[in-house]
Amino acid sequence: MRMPVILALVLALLAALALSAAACSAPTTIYFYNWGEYIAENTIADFEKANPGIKVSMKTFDSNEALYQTLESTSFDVIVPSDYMVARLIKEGKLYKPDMAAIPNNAKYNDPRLKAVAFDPDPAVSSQMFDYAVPYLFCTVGLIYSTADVPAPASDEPADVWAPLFDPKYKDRIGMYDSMRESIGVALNVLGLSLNTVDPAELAKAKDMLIAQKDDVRPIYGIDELKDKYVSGELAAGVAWAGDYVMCLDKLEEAGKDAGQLGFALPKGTNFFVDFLAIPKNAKHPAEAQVFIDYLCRPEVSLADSEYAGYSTPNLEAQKSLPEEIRSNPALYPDDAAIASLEVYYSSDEIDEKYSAIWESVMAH
Amino acid sequence: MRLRWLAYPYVLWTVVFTVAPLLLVAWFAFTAVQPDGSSAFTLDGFRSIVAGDRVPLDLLGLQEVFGLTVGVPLYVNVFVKSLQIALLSTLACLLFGYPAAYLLARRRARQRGGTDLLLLLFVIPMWMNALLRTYAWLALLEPNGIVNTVLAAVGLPKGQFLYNDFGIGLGMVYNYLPFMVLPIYSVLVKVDRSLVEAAEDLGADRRRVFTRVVLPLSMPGVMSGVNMVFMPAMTTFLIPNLLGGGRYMLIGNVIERQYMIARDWTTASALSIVLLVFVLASMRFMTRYEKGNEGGGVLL
Amino acid sequence: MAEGTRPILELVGVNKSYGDTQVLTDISFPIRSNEFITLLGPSGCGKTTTLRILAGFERPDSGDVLFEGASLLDVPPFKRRLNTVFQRYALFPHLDVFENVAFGLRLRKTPEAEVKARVAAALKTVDLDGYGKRWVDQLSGGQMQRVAIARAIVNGPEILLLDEPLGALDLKMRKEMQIELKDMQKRLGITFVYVTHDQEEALTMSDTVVVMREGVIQQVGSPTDVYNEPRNAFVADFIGESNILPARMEKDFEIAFAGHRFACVDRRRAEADVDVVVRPEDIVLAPPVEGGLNGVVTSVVFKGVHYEMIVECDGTEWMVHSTDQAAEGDRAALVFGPEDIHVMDRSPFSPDAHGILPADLAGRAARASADEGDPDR
Repeated sequence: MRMPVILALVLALLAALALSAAACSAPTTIYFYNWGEYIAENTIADFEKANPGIKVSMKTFDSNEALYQTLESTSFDVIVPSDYMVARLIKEGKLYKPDMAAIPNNAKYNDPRLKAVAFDPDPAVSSQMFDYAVPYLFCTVGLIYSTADVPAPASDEPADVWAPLFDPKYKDRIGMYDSMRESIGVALNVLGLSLNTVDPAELAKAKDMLIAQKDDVRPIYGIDELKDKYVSGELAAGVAWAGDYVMCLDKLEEAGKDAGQLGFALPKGTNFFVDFLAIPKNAKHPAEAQVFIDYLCRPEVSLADSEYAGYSTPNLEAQKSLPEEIRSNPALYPDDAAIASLEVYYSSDEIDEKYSAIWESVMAH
Repeated sequence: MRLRWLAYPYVLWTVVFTVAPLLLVAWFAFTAVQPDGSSAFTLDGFRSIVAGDRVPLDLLGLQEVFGLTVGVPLYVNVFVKSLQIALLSTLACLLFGYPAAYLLARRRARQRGGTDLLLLLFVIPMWMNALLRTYAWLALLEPNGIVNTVLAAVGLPKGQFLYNDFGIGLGMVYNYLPFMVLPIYSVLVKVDRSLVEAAEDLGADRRRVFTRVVLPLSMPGVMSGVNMVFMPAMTTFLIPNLLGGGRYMLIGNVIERQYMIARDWTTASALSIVLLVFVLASMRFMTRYEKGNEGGGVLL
Repeated sequence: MAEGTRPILELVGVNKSYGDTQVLTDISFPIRSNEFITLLGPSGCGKTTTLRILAGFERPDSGDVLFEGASLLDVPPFKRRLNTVFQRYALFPHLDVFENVAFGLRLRKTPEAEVKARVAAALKTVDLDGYGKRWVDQLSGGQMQRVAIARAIVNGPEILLLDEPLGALDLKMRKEMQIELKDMQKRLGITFVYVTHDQEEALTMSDTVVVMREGVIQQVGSPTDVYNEPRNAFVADFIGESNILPARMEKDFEIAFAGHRFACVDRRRAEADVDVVVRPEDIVLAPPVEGGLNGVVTSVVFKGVHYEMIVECDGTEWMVHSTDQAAEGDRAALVFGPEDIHVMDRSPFSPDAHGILPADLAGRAARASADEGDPDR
């Protein structure tokens, strides 16, 4: 009977020794929860070289909802929620308010126009966005199309831009995101409605439109697998994040094809979203997290991450170093008028439930 | 009796990996998480299966061919669609698989031992990951894939082989054919040659030797083959996910989406329970007519 | 005896080989109507192959099978007017006893009432009234055998082929079934072609015995013929216990073997080398006499009806069956009469001077192993 007790004491002692030893000598590890393929391959290693006291351990997620769920049970130091998720986390008091003085690169380089965007229907929340979070990369949602098969849109009116997606001429050759906000958003945008509507009649119209599209046009629904199909020419047109379009251009280049094969058009009133860097309230090392965020706001780092991910950088200094055809593309870097017309997604339980129900029944049809 | 303790690990295994997950699914099916975080009893999961949009029943071309429109709840339609494609795939597997098993068994009888290369060819694909095998079909059948490229090269029109009933059916037949062939084969090789001779001796020509002796004797193999194909075909979500272009939904996909995307665990679990009960009932139905299932079939 | 009646079936110069192995060589014999003919021989002698050729499961390489004078070779098994009782019964496990027996009738689209009547009659013939609803796996070996016979005879075949039908039964059951089968054959008036490795069974039941060895017919004749007048040492050895010795005809009715001269009933060319067989039950043990065939009893085994004794004379072992017991070590003289000496032509199976048969001769050893079941193909 005694032996196990003694054994347990010895083990506990050993464990305590090991822990304290680790605390003395090892660098602090911060946990970074990011989207997949959303940071340049060297960024973390370079940061660790520049800051020998900090190690970065990265895990990835594939949706804001997954991030939200995981946050309940796991502690992270830096997360990358999209705008509406930042607003939600602020409302629920789940974000740590960083010391912006410790992140000087943010104020110095990031596009101040973003602060004017209404990221939440509640101006009180919207105005707090930049107190809690730092923009990382942003992206618009538009039409990707094969220039050989689909004529360029006649105007930037939503009905003109999205027309190919509902045209039976392109049966089996249309791509739609298997993502409720983007796909329902296209229908709402064509109908001239808000991307955040919860009006049942308006939503019913959008749903009917998507079901009719499924029957008549038979789109391919997916996310990552669509890119290859645009590059190969299997798909003629589809809804796409600007970042995916840029990655398609890279793939065309790799394949030795003409980048002019694919075009991208931004209709009025479409969605754009900003992914932010934020620190959750249950972070264990907020000070080190601020150091890391500031590092990510450096122009050369932001440029590398933007080019790697294909998403637009809000870093004005970094934008100057972009290739001319990217920087001057208004679909990727919208002008003031465009920015004013774009709408961000809002998030609420009501929106989640209604949109999810619509999308699941469209998919089950 | 002294070795009874040897069974305990298996009992434990069954409890942990079969009974517990089943109970968990049942729990989710009948409860919903309330805003305050507690769970309360509900039948909403089952209600949402029969609620939802009413859509025309899509069964055996009822609508297209006969112009009949029977309104059913959306999920019921998905269920019927899944049942239909599962039954058709099982039938196709049987039609292709039985002759294959028969030929293999005949070759086996003639060779008397040794490894049959043909049998090996049937079995080798089973050693490969199902994902990889199915990706191979993608490369072959894509609109710009190998088959269409060849068709175009010889001046034939391109075909739409994927993302439809044909593509899904093909994927199922390809993936599940070995599960039909092997049980039938293993029963057929055991059929005593002297029974065939006895039937011939009593006046049966080759056709009647088959219909009156070989076929009835191979029924246990057919039954377990049918079970082993029908069950995965009815519940698969992998094959429609890969070959369905995201637009082809079977009941397995609906359940997967409810769990993973919509995160409505109550509806997802209710659907799982309905599917489970249905599959068990159909297996029971198929095995009940078999006297002493000898085909190594699934006993129930 | 069926001699004289017309042959219903006839094998003419049949040869058959599997690969390099010649399994049948120039097999010819007639099968007469209503006779009970038995193909007898040790394992691998080709008797089952011969039967399978008759049934149509095998095709000879050359030669012919004549049914009432017409060749059967191109007639498939299902069209031949004969039925087979298989070695391991080959009952259909998916059918009950009634349907097993009705199988052939149903194939011929017999009216239901007739099926019922004929199946019932066949089951009655084999003493299985009321067993129709049983499954075959609920039957004993003997019952399965009866079902197999009923299944064959219900079709009213002209010829019934039986391949070691009693091989899987125990001794007592086998004896009973032998009598029943013979009785049934007489009652039904069907020609039976019977395959066995059991010489006793063959002698008990048959009208005609065909003794085979390694694909060659050794002798065709009635049971008494092959027992009393074996054509060579193999037949003599295979049919019953025997003492076989090389001998020499001195002149008509006088023969020399085992160092002595004996009177005999055969007439042969003088100085001819021959073999003789003396059956153990024909030998009487007497007190030793001067000039007699004297020896020492080396072994005595009680066999129930008689004692089996080995007597050694001048290095040759003699087998003697007698109801009188001698003791081991006794000296005795072997006494037999002229009519007990059967003279045979010399053959490749002839014994050496001490009566030891050639090692490759599948005599007693083969018979012993064959008793455990005959996978003869």
